This record gives sequence, C-alpha cells and structure tokens, in this order.
Amino acid sequence: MESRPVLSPTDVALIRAAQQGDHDAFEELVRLYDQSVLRLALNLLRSEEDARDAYQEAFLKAYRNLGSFRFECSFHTWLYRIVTNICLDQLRRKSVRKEGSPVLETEQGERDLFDTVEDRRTEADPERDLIRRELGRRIEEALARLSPRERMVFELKHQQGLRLRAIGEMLSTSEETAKNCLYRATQKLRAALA
Amino acid sequence: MNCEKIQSSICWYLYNELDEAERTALEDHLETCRTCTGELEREKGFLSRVDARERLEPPAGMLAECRHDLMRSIYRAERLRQRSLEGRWRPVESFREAWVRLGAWRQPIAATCLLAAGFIGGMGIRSQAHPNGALNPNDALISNISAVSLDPRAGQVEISFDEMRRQKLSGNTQDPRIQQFLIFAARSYSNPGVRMDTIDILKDRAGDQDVKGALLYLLGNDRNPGVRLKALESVKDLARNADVRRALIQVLTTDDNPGMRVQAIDLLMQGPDRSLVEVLQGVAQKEDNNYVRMRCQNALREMNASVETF
Repeated sequence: MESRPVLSPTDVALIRAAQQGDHDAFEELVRLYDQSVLRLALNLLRSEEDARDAYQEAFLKAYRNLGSFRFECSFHTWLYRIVTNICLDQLRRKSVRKEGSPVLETEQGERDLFDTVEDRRTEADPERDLIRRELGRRIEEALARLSPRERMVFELKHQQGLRLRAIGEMLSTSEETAKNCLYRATQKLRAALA
Repeated sequence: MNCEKIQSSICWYLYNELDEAERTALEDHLETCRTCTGELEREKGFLSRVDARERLEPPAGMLAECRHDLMRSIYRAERLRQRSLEGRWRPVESFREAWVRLGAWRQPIAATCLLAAGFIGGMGIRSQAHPNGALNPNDALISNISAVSLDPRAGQVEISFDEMRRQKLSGNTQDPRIQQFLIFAARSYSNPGVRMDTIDILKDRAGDQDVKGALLYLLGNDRNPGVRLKALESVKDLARNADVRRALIQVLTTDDNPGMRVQAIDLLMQGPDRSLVEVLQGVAQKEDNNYVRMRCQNALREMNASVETF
C-alpha cells in the first residue's frame, strides 16, 4: 500500500463535514481507513485485545483532534501517525514486561503464531511444514528483539509496503532516519536467521 | 559503480527505494557481474524468508465489533458533553417550566414580587439618602461623587456619592457566609497578599466543590505566580481528582512559569494515566525550558511511553 500524498476530494469533503460535527461523515472516514489500521495494529502487537485497544484509542484520538487537522498532509499519514504512536507505546510497554513471545492471544486462548498461518499448498508436507514453523519461530524471536521503532519501520515496509519517505513522515522523522532504522532491523534479522 | 557500492544498494533496489538513475546503473552492473548477481539472489532469498512470516488478518467480525464499540464510545462521549451543557441552563429551564405551570396566578404573584422589590430597594435608597446618619469618615470611604446641586431658595446642598464602608465579619471556617466571602476574595480581590492568606484558610476545605473551584480558578488565572503556586500546593492532596488534573494539565501546557509547570508534572505523576502520555509528549516536543522538557521525558519513561510524538 502506498501512502496518499494528496487528499482526495472525498477525504476533504468528509473531513470538513466531520470537523463541523457531522457524525456520519466521521463514520465514513473510519470505514475508509479502519481496516488497514486494525491490520497494522494486529500485525504489530500480535494480540487481538491489544489491537482492539489501539484501534479504539487511535480513532477516539482522531475524533477529538480532527479540528486541528490542517490539510497539510494526507489524512492517511495523519491517522497513521496516531496509530503508530499508540502501537509504539504498547510495544515499549510490552518490551519492558518482556512479552515478546511468539504467540497470538485469541478468544480461544494463546496459539502458536504459525498455527494461524494458512497452509495454501494442495498437499501438506509434514517435513516442510516443520521447517516453515521453525523458520517462523526464529523470525518472530528475531523480531521481538528489535527495538520498537525498528519493528515499526520493518512492519510498515514489509507488511504495509510503504515507501521510506512516507514512513519517515508518519514517524515524524526523516527518510534517512527511517532508512537507517530499516537497515538495522534487516541486519539484526539477517544475523538471527544466518 | 563498483561492486561494494552495488552490493550495499541491492537491499534498497529490492525494496524499490532507488531512484531511476541508481536503478539503471545497478541493473547495468548486474548484467556483467556474477558476484553481485549472486549477492542479489542471496538478498532475495533472505527477504523471501522474512516475508514467509505471513500477515495476520483480523478474524471475521472483529472489524465490525471494533466499529460498533468505537461509535458507541463516541456516542456516549457526545451524550455526556451535551448533558453537561444542558446542565448549565437547567435552573433557568426549571424556573420557566414552574412559572408556566402557575397559569392564572402568574399576574398577582408577579405584582407582589414587584411590590416587595420596590420596598426593599426603597429601604436601600433611603439609607443612602441620609448621609449624615450613615457617613462616618473613620469607617467609610467615598468612592465617587456623581452630582452636586444647590437649592438657592432652601439653601440646601445635595451631594450624590457612593460610599464604601469597612465592616468586619467573623466566624469559623465552616460558616457558609465566611466561606462565601473567602471564595469571593480569592476570585476578585486585587491584593495578592489577601488572596494568599485566603488560600491558606481555604486549603483545608479544598474538597468542597465551591472551594475547589475558587482554588482552581486562582491556579489557572491569577496573574501573580506566588498566588498560583500557593493555589497549586493547596490542591496537591486532590491530585487524582479529575477537575484538579484538568487544571494541572492547563498549568503544564499554558503557565508561563517553569516552576509551576514542573510542580504540575510532579502532581500529575501521582496518578499517571494514558491520557497524560499525549499531554506530556506534546509538552516535551514544544517546551523551551530544558529542565521542564527533561522532567516531561523522565515522566514519559516512567510510564513506559514514547518520548516522541508521531
């Protein structure tokens, strides 16, 4: 997904209406962007509960602060700034609590992350499956050792497919800093998977 | 471009982060260099292994539930806001409704009220109309002479003036009249020394809604930093109270005195919550004073929150 450099006329109209207190317009904005917000939160935080919290907090913050949106960047960038900030805080809290285990918390309890990965092959191969699981485990462990910011940049690049310039904008930093961050992240992953 | 430079760019090439010229130069080089082509393949293998970690997709229904919860939270917040706005006009509305219900009794009641008002007003005017009896230069101040006229036939002079009398009121701190005066003094009196003395007396009753309101008013509005600081100290035991926290956040974000801002951080940190993170991040970003900024950053670290705002 590419960041939207300019505001679409639809976005502008919805934002202006929402700023005037039109709830339907705000709800429409939520519907336009919330799927990618929830997906980002889920992939970063690896917990449905945390992702739900981040979703709520992000959109409530957006609702409260929409009046201060000045159309200087895309709504997508503005919203992602809020979401990434919230997720970074959660990641930092998690890293302090040392909760980087590669498990996914679901309503049915904790599950190994790679149990959730759909096996798209027509014939399941137990040996390859085992290797795939082991690789997945190592990647998750390596990701858990990245700093929250490295993890965030890595996620925005790999999972969201954003350009470094857009990532820099979202994290209120330069493209060069985002690039260095991604470089450090990939170096650490490379070392862990060697 | 030499091999070393090419190899350091391969990662960015695969990430599609090279500009057109760099991309062309790299592709030209790869056509003739086996070492770098091998490096490209290794890098591709690494990235494909990393990407083997599949994306998690929100389970069916999760998005709808999140939307529903969000809209419910917004609806509740709006309802609360509207209720608090309506609450301000409720006494007026109640009076209007009661008045309408009186029906045919409205006219006689209104007439009686007018008569009573005229009588009470007349009593006041009467005392002002006889300055000889009321005025004592020792305990009254003439604040304004508005008219002087002479009746030549009667030889009478008439002077219209406003009179300020010094009076004393005494009672214990529980006395509602005393409390009312103190609250008035805190909000209105121009002498900062009096306001500080008033805070000293009121602080023991800071839990009372009206007293708290007066103390928070001083905290947020008094021109004198000493008075504001004293007001801040007077509410420190209520640092977890929502009204006090709002006032402290206002101090932190708007008070021009760095000492006040530092004190506000200390008190707010007695009950750190998530809403405080955003405030501290905002202050840490804009704060000119190094010490205050450092205290904000320390507070954020203490809460395991990011120092930066994104």
